Amino acid sequence: MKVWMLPLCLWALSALSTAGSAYAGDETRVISIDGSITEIVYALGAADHLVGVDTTSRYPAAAQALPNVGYMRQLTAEGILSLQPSLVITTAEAGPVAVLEQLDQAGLRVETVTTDSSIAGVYAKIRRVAQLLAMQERGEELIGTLQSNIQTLQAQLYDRRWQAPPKVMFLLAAGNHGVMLAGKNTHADAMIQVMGGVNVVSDFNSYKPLTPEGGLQTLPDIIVVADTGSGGQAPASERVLERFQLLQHTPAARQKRVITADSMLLLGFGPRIDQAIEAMAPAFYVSR
Amino acid sequence: MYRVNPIALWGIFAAALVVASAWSLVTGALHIPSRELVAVLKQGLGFSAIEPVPLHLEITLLQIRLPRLVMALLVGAALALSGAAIQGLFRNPLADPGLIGVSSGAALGAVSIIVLGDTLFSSWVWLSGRWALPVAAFVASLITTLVIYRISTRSGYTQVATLLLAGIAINAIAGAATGLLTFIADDSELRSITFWSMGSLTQSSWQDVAAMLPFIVIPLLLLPLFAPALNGFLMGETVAEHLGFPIRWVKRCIILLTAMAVGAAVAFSGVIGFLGLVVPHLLRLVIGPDHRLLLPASALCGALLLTVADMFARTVVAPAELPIGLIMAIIGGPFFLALLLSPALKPGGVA
Repeated sequence: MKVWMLPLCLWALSALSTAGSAYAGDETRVISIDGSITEIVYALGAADHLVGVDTTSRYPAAAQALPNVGYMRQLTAEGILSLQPSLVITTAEAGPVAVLEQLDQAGLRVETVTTDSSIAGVYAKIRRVAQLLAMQERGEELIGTLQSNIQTLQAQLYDRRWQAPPKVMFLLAAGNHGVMLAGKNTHADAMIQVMGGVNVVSDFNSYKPLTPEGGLQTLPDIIVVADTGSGGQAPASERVLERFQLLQHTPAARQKRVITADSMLLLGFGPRIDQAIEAMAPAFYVSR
Repeated sequence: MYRVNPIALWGIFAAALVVASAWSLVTGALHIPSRELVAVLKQGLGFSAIEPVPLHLEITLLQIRLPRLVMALLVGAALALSGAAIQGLFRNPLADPGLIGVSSGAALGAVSIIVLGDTLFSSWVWLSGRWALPVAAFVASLITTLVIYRISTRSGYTQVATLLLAGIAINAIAGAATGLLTFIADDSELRSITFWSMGSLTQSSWQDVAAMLPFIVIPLLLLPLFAPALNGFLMGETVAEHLGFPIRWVKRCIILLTAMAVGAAVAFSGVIGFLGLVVPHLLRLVIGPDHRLLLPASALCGALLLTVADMFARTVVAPAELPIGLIMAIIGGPFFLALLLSPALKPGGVA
């Protein structure tokens, strides 16, 4: 039933939007394809221009109510065109290439923002998105706020810094299934560097399932658990320590340096990076 | 013997195919007003345009929907026809082209590119660009099939039982290699693998259609020629040989042609299950086991089903898209069950 009504609704919708002639007007209609870019658009106060997002855009919650063009590596040209955007902002991860080519052919402006997992990278990303939306001033303002917040946080961290950089274990934990350990070349690894720590993992890239013994072996000073969505259960850190009893013998668990926060916040490298640092900071203060 | 007049059935399929194709062209996430639709078609046929059509509408029709429709027709026909031929060859209604390694080989090729494309195979990816994945999948599927075929061929004679067992072993090895790659894959690569394994016609462009055309059209034209031989196979290989069919040659050709067609289809559209297994079944229920009717009807029906399924895939969750392999199973599964349970069919009609 619903299926049959859909073309009808779509027809009505597009009839309405063609009446406004989105292509001709100077009104900007933006599709944001990347969670961090969507966050930046909202932080800039340009949410009114958003007509569509992708599945990685889950913050703020309002973004989830927008039309969703699917997963960023599995885009479809017609779906994007049907929202009649005047600008598509995305990162280099978007694909497939053939679809981006089709969009280009159709005369659509697709802007790829290069990303770099660092604080400077976040500033550059904000600057670029602000420029694309012709909101440079607002962008600099946002960067300024972030800079001063981060400076304060980093000064606090510096005051209570370790003699040698602490060894950090970064875990990704979902509801009831596997716990993944973050290796090199991950957003998690970049975040550890932002916090002035070193990753306990040095011998593999990306994420690997955590094994009980492997976890103990690395003797982390700090454990960060990025919660990928537990839906009202006990905090992810408690669940992880319960499942991996051996971890309770690590320096991190004995000194209660285990911290949990939402994975989107910790790994987003978006305009909430100051909040991410703030969330992790308590575990990174050395005790005197 | 026939429950339905075959000529009438072909007529119905052909008509349905034309209607489905036309319908598929005019529906989609983007609404194209009928005036523009007619204008673009006129332009396409060489008439001069009365008024210019907005570029994005024209591109959507001619560069996105049309190549995709052609792709759906070709892939659907290839998968269903190959399924029918392989089932005939193995004299087993549960056989599908996966048995001769096409799918597992293609998966290994595709996953290798997804996971190792930026390290081990970076120069290959750099050289071949967007063709890297389909070409790797196609070549890997052919190699896998050839390995299985060589193993099961002793002094020029291919044993079907050995072919089946060698297929299982080689599939397991290829599956393990794919699993290993999955293990070292990162999150985004894992998602790409998942999507690939559910199939999609999203990327279809005219270049893709042109690249896969020969590999699909040749089997489409040649496989039906083996229908009399496959009818002979129904009574057993020995009987077929006594009837005068060159069974070695027949087996070799059918294996190579199906590997070519399915390899090309999988390479460009990912894994679309169900079609090759079930379409020939459905048709056997309706028109009986004669391959002279079954093979062309399978091709037509496969093309029809995939076109309809793709239309759903494109519109149900617009502006996003569902993987077509899912749609295939969701609409095809219950339909097949209903047909199986239908009282109009005599028990034992499946074989």
